[in-house]
Amino acid sequence: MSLESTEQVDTFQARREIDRLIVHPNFVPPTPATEHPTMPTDQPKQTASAEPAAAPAGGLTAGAAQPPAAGLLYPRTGPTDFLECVRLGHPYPPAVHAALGREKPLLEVQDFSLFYGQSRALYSINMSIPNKKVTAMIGPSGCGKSTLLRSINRLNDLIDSVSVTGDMLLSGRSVYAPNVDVIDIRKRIGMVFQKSNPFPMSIFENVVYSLRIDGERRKGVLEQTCEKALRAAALWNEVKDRLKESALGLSGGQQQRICIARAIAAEPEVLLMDEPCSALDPIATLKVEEFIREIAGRITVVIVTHNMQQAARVSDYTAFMYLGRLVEFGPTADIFQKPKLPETEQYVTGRFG
Amino acid sequence: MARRVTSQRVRFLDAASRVVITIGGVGIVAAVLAIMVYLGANVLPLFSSGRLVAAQTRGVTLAGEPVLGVIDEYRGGTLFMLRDGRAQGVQTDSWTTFAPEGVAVEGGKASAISQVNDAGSTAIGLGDGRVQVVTFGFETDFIAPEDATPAMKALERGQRLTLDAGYVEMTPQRQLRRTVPKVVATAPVELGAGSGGVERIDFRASSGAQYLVVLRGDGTLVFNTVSITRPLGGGKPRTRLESEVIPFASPKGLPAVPDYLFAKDGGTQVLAIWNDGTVQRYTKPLGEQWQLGETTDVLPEGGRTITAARMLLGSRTLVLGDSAGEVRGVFAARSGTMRTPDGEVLVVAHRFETGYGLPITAIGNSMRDRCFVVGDGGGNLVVWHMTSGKEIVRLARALPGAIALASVAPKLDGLGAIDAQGKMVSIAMGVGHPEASVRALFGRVWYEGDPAPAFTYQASTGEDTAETKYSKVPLIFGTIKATLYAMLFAVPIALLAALYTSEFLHPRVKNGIKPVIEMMASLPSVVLGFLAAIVIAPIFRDILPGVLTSLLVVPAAVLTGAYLWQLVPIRVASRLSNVQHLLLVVVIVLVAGVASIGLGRAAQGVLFTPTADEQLVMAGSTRVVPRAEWPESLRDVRSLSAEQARPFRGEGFYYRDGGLVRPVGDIREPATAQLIAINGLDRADMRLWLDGVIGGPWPGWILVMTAPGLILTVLLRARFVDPFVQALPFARVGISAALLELGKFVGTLVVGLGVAGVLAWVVTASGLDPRDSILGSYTQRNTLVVGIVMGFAVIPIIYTISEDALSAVPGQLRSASLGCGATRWQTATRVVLPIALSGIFSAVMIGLGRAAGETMIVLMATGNTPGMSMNIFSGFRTLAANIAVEMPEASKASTHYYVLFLGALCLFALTFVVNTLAEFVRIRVRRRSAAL
Ligand SMILES: Nc1ncnc2c1ncn2[C@@H]1O[C@H](COP(=O)(O)OP(=O)(O)OP(=O)(O)O)[C@@H](O)[C@H]1O
Ligand SMILES: [Mg+2]
Repeated sequence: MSLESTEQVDTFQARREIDRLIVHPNFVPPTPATEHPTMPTDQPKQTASAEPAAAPAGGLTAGAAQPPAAGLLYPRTGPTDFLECVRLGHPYPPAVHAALGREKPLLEVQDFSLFYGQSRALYSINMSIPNKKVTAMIGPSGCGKSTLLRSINRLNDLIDSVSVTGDMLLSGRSVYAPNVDVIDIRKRIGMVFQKSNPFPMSIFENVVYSLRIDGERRKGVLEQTCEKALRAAALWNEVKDRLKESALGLSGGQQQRICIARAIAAEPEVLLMDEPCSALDPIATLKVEEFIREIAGRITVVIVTHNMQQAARVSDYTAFMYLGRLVEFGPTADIFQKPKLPETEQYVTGRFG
Repeated sequence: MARRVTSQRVRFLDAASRVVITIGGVGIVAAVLAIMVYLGANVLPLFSSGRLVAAQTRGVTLAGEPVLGVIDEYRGGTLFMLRDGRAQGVQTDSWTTFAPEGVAVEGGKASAISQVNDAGSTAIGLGDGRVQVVTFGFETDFIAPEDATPAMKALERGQRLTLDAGYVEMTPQRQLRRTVPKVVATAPVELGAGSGGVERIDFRASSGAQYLVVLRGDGTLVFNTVSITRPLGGGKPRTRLESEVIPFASPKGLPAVPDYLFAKDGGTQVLAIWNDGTVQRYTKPLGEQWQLGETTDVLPEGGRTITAARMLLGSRTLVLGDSAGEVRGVFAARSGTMRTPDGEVLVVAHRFETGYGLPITAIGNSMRDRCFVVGDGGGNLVVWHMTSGKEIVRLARALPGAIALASVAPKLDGLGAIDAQGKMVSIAMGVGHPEASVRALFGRVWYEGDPAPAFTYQASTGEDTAETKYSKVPLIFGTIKATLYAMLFAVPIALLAALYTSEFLHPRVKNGIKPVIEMMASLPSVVLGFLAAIVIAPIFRDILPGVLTSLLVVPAAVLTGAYLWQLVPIRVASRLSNVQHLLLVVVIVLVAGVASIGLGRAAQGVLFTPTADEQLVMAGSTRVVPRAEWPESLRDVRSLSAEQARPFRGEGFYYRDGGLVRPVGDIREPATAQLIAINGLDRADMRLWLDGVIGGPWPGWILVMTAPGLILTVLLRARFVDPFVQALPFARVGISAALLELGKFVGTLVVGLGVAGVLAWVVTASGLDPRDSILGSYTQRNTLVVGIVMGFAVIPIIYTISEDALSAVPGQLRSASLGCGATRWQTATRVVLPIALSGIFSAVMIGLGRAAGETMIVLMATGNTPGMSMNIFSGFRTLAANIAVEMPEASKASTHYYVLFLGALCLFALTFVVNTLAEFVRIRVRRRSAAL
């Protein structure tokens, strides 16, 4: 039996199915038992559920519809055929490697779903991001990596049509509960965006922006921070003589590194990087990767990348996402060398439809 | 694969659109330029001087020495008065002479002859002491065709036929117009006082009254009010005189008879002038007797003498020519501090140089305006306009000999002069616009009677003989004043609203609100002006203290609300939707607005309640303070004004009717108490304070200093207090931080008001009063009302454009900023606002342009008085309103007409300059965010 060929055909079918489901404006996501019952509504505010997720969270083993597969942290409940799930618009039970159970989670994503208006971008994601480790997120374009990343520091709040269900816990405290201070959460998280977005200010002001908004005025502190951040972003030597010049005068790659410097200047606990190296040349990429490796022991990094080698090089753990669902999550080496699911294997080996 | 081609249709559309766009663009530029050129073309005539058209010189033989010369309206003839009182005419086209009927002198010998006055009459003094009033000039009528002689009928258009006396002209409308000399002498009359022949005489007519001043041989100076009656049955009109004697005495060392004698200023002043420049001014202050007002020297330069003198139209300004070829314009000016009985003082306001250095021998004045011609010993003629200082025409060596007489034609289109040898010149000229010059339009001009040169605009006056004042400066000032106050009101509101809608409001709400505000822009400004004048102005007058208080209270209330909001637990706070949030703010603003009416009234009670003394003064329970007991610095002041007396209120002196009074009695006395109760004299009233009736400078300074005090406090706090507070352990998060911020805010408010009080005290101590500058008497339609209403007119424009600019800021920058942990407000002010700055700048500038050109609102909601007062409670007149008000009454091609065009050009230039500057700034601002 040629697994590859059947899979490919099926993938095509699935794609069409998805297009029909997602694009259709009147589509209402079905609510299977495993899914969190809250539905997206028209109201502008996000509806966030503070109730604890019914589905198993990282570290716990609950429900036993199927016997636990070897090496999984917890058994996969519900239908495990990916295409079937997609066709029905169901969430997918991910294969979470047992190795994650040994890690202390910093961020726990609990049954998190996200809707852009009527269309669903994330399907009841459950995952625990390990503390002070580098987690890579891979997956084909449009699978919801950026969406998930932006949900962590609640930047999706800015998009009016967005509504979410489920919750995330940052160091055990809810991110989506009504009484949280969003600003406080964001101050603990640094973010590098997929498209570079430096402010139209001087290089210096760009880098120390986070400190400025915290009311830092001491020149010495600002300068020190700026240099440190720029060095980490492998940019110091290029811009040290022109800190007062506009950041917009830099090349695209330099601008992206300014954004990296800006994100790490305030020494966040978590660093979210959305394809940080997509505009960088190999040397700069290498430097950024070195930096990530260097800080890995100290802060938690979540990095989205389309570059498998990069994911392999920098990350401790890798999560594979597909069509708004977490498919497989485990130690990087395992994901790339002996993935548990065929979808993952196809993707990482490049035989993906 | 087929080669891709661009279809013919697409090519055609591309070319066509390019042509259309080019035509449109060029057309707009051309249209703007055309407007500029048109305005410029309509303004240029103002600045051109007069020009010479033709000059004809002939020798004429007169029967004696001419002392007066009058040219007829159509410049066909000149009528001379000879030294002996007889009249003789010269036809200046045929150069024949004639003697008019009606002999001026009857049974006596003329010993003095006055200048022809504004009514066309002269007075002749006889050697026997009698005087005779003579109408001296020309008269025109039309000959009916049946009365016309064949010679007349044969005339072509514009041709003239010389008569025995005068001439007939065929007008372009083919009418026969006859111009004949008219010399009507009244019977000589005796003066009511003095004896001896008439030595000097002057006869004036102004606004219906005629008066005659005569110096007789025995040294009696007689002032006569003249009334002329015409007997019913025909015959000579009779003159009646009412005589008063002026106590005249010539200064020591000077001849008993002055060289010139003039009456002036509506018969309230008489000038006696000696050749050395000494001038005695006799005056009759209201309700007093004739007395010597002052003796001055108008010719301080030694070695010169006065060689000619003439009174200009209006009988207020005297022109004096001296032996060195210099000409001075002299008039009596109001002066509060000089020691003269009438508070006026003679000033040399204007000076002119012929440039030839020869003595002035003749001066002639225009009967239309303040133009005059001078002739000098070398036969040179120069025409000037006194007020504007503009040289109209200059003729070097118009005649070979010294000019004996020079006259200006009635329509200002010609001159006539005769020299000592009997050579006569008749000159045709174009006068242009004598009243307009760069100095007269944009500089300070010294108008008759004013204490000093000033910027004045007064295009139309009640009297024909009054000066027209065309200074554009008060109008430009009014325009800037209106614009400034409107922008002060509109810009903060519009920008905050734009920031709020673009950064904080949910898009769905925003999509509802924006069109509503944009609809406000389409509200006709005449409606706003109407509302301002009829509704808002009276309300403001009634709740003035409340309006002023609200300027502080409403923002303070909103901010306090915001700080208190920080104390609300986030669980409760986040339950409120955006719209509810907005409603909460609206409620706060409304409540604060209503509260400030009450607060304003309370503040008025504290600051502007009349003291017991002031109540007594208002009730009239006062004692007049004799001048000897006045404060030192006021003792010499002749005509005391309320402003001069105001600083001495603290010492118990109050102003009343040009003098000082002290309050006496007690407000508890039944009669006084009743008076106070009936008239409500004990009621606090800010407008009384503004009018200067009550109170010292201090309360007003508090109002003025509140804003600077608060700003200073905020700056000082940011510099010295904030760094310290920031370092406190509990200053960063939670309730404690919110409380701290609230405390800081309230503290700033309190300290700021305290600082304002201190500042107010300091300026008060330095003797300044805000009522002399930015505050002052309250007029109902004032700058504050216009500022606010016009602010409403420009808010929608500024709001819409700046909201667009803010919304155009890329969302990823907002994400970046928020991702760094910035609040929405920090994001808005630190990232969004700077990027949108160039767009916001454009918005403000477009609003500015709209405010500057706005006509209807200022027209309806200000008093339209062109003034230069900084007072925000006074009216003003803008360039645009001025054009709207005066265009209908300005006759085409008149000076006034062109001056209005100049106003339009000024407005154009003003907005052009502002917009150009703005564009420069905008480009600079934009360069920073160019690479976005
Ligand atoms: N602002 C938005 N409004 C509506 N739909 C959106 C929005 N942003 C993303 N989506 C949809 O959500 C899905 C996930 O998008 P997301 O940007 O998270 O993908 P991604 O995994 O980051 O892809 P890429 O690798 O190409 O960056 C996509 O189908 C996309 O069309
Ligand atoms: Mg992405």
